[in-house]
Amino acid sequence: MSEKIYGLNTVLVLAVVFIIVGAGIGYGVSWAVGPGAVSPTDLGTLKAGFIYVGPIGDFGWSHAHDQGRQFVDDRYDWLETVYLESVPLDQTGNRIDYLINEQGCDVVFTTSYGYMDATIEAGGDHPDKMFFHCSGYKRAANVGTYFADFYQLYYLNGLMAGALTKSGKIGYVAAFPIPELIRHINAFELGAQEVNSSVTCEVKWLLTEWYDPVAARTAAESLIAAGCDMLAFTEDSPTVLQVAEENEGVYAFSHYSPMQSYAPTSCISGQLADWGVMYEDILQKIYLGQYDNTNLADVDYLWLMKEGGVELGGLFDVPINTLFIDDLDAINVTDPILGELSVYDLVMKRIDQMTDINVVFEPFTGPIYDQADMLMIEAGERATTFELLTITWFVKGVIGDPTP
Amino acid sequence: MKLRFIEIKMKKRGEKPTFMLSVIIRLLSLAMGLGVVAALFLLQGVNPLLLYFNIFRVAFFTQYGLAETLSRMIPLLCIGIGLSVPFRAKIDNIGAEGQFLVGAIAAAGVAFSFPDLPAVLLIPLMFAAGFALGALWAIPVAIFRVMGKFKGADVVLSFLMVFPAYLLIVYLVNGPWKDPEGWGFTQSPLFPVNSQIWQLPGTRIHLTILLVLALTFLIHYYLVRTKEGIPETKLGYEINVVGENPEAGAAAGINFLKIALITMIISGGMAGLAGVGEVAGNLLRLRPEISTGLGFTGIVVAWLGGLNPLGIILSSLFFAGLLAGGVEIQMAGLPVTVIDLFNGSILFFVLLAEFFMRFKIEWRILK
Repeated sequence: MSEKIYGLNTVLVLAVVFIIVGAGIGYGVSWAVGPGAVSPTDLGTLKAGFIYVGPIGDFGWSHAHDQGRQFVDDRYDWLETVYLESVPLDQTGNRIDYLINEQGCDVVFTTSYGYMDATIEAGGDHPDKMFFHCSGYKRAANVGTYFADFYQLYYLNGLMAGALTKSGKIGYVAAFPIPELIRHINAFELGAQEVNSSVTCEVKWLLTEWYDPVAARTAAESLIAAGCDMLAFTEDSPTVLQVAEENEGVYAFSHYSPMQSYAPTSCISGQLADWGVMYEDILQKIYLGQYDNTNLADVDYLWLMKEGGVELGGLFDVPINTLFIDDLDAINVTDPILGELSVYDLVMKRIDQMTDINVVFEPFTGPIYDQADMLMIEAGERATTFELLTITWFVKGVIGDPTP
Repeated sequence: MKLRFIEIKMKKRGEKPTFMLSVIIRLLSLAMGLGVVAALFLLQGVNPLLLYFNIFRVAFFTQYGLAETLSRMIPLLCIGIGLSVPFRAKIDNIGAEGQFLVGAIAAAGVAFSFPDLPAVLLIPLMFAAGFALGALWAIPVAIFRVMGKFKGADVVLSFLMVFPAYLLIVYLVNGPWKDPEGWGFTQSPLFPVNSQIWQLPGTRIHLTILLVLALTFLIHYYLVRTKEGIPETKLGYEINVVGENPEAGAAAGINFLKIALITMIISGGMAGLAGVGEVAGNLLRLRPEISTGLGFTGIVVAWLGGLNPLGIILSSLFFAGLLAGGVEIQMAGLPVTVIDLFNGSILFFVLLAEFFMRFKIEWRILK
């Protein structure tokens, strides 16, 4: 009996000693290492805040981001999301503070290029939180960047526009002359030139808002009056498509959201983004502790066709409106490498090449000349990611000065 | 108006409502406005009491919100107090938005032209230029109000003059004042350091608040102050007389054009000052979207404040709180445009209150 008690006592004493020693070692280690990386996963839940530049009902950029937010929010119980829409650029810092201080967000996504400096500043003000800025190039220990870019899709749209244009003039309604739009306009024109070297692309600048259906209508109508019969655009409403649908012989490409239903007989193709998969990737990595507030300085997502962040079409899973497939199949072009083939086959081939793991085709491959006939990209060379993200010059064949 | 069963008559009230009564009518109209918006919230499945509580809590009882409220109060008070002056003379300046924008343009122009002047010279010069350009933008309104051949010329002209001011900014920030490092965004470069108005650290409350409070007091002292119901200054008296009855004013030898010019210069100038403060103290850049409708909200501020300086201080605080706490509306899942709807509904009821203070409705059932 007493031996048994003795044995039990030994076990208890040993347990207490181990606990004390273990706690001491643990404390000592944590003291020596200092406060570790803060991971919100300790709490078991994650709260993400989103800041949008336009209204979520714009059916363009902000709408697409919000679709992505809802996708991840519905999918994971551990995730809570909140958003603020139509946040003016100069209110960014203030709204980030609100999301963190009042809403308790662990991570904030700022979804406009113009939010770049404010996001970096907020990263300094809130070193224990995480930030992700969409479409910028500045990062910090707790600020990462992410983007799904459309330039490959605009190039593919350009191939179709260049083949189908009757007047040899294609048009582009553009909100602001920022690098993203300049890149897209250039890609659109490069695609068109590949199948029809004399095509010019006329650009009308809105310079007002990202969401401005009234100005977009005026711009589209003036492009049509100038003879353009193929229209692409970057403005966050389906207005340009509606204008194309109203005008006989004018066709357009959907932008950002599946807008083909607004112009069933005039929408040839378009560009679609799926932000949900990217938000899922980022938030899961945060949840699992792979990303924290100390290691984001090199986290830079740039998802193109290969990663599945973007896809061709005016409707999901419909890369080309079926009404136009026969027309594209009937036009033949000669490619120096691929030989003679139809434009439809060329588009499909380019999709394969750009979704290939090695991306065997890049639209911005030299020689590419700017409007002043200066050689900007040497023959055989590809533009770097940084060059593309900060591009400020237009390729030869683009008409339209953004200065009023 | 005669309908089949009922006759409705609009009658001018015999005597002016007392001060207490007018305060009560205004507060009631405010409550009715809030009630209508609450009904809309309910229809959207949002608990209005909880939402109002949250707006109030964020706007006044959080450090973040209070700083934002006071920062929003600066332009609203400045515009509202300025607007109250022509409103007293029954001149409807609804174009404070445009006067605000040209004030901001003047500030940018001076700041970019003389970036090396010391701040003590440069900032007063910017305010002077903002006042001057704002006033210049307002003078045609006074002229058309007096000389115009139709009633409401002041309303039409002051409103229409908002758009050239806006387009002028769009032109400037895309053209001559475009930020060379702005990556194509429509904005001017940052204001030179010497032209930036000092901010309370960690907030966006800038020193302009002192200027605005001082000017509010001056307007009270020189134009509004009364003794036994009669304004103590000659100008204040003349403004009131013209506002109540222009014919009587003319008969008493008061030059309406002079009063119109003086009140509109004050109003346009104050809106211009607000524009200077907003760009040089808060935003530090010129952009087309600098105002977000502050000039229009200022109209509501002036009327809800009963065109009385103390009342306008309170109503500007109320609307500033609404702008700062308005993020809670979005958090409740409502679209951002609800904030505009909110302002619009309250303006509607406040103006209705003004109507009921001047007229009463009589009706009788016809047999």
